[in-house]
Amino acid sequence: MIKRSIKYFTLVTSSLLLISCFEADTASLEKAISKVQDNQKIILQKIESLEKGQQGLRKNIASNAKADPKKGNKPKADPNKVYNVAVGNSFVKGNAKAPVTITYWTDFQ
Amino acid sequence: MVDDILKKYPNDVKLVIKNFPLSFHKQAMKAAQYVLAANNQGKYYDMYKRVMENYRSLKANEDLPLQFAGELGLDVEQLKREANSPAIVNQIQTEINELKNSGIPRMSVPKFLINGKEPQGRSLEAFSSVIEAELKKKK
Repeated sequence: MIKRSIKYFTLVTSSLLLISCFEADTASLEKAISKVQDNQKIILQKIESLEKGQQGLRKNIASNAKADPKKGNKPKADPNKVYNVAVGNSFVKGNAKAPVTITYWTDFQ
Repeated sequence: MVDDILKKYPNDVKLVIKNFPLSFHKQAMKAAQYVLAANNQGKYYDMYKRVMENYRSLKANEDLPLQFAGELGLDVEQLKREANSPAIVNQIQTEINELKNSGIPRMSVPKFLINGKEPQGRSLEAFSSVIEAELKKKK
């Protein structure tokens, strides 16, 4: 008899424990979900403002292109145009008498 | 990439490096001065490469080139002195003006000219094709 009641007692307590565990889990899950939802709201708001910004940019680009249709097309490097620039006192690397000169402007940025 | 070109055409191509420090990069001007000053001690290109490889750190420490100079065995005091000399400051100004007055429509850096012509792209192939055409003309 005692054995039986002990058995029942363990069964009941362990199931109670389990239930409370579930409850605790559900609570933390709910918390996590609401946190995700909050974050989602923030993200959506950010996306919305980005979309608005993008629309504005598109309008700007369109009005700029209208104002100056040539401006939209960047001048492409003309492969045949020759720009004469002297070596001067600039640093030279390689054979000073080489027939081909690469002039290179650089910036340490 | 330019090194690859120089390796590919060791006799036929020379590289002329000119400065165009953008006015809104204060540390760029200083770096250009230090690198040019290193030329007086025969270490221009070593210095140039070190500064180029570490340009991101220049903003936090514009005197970083001095550290490189020390590592390259240069006389740092001499370098410091000469970097601020009128000769070097004027040289940079001349190089800036050369690009500004060249007539090149877009003054962005890096800017390359191969025998005065702008290559169509910055690949080894793009450069090689202009170089080959120039060499053909000379022969």
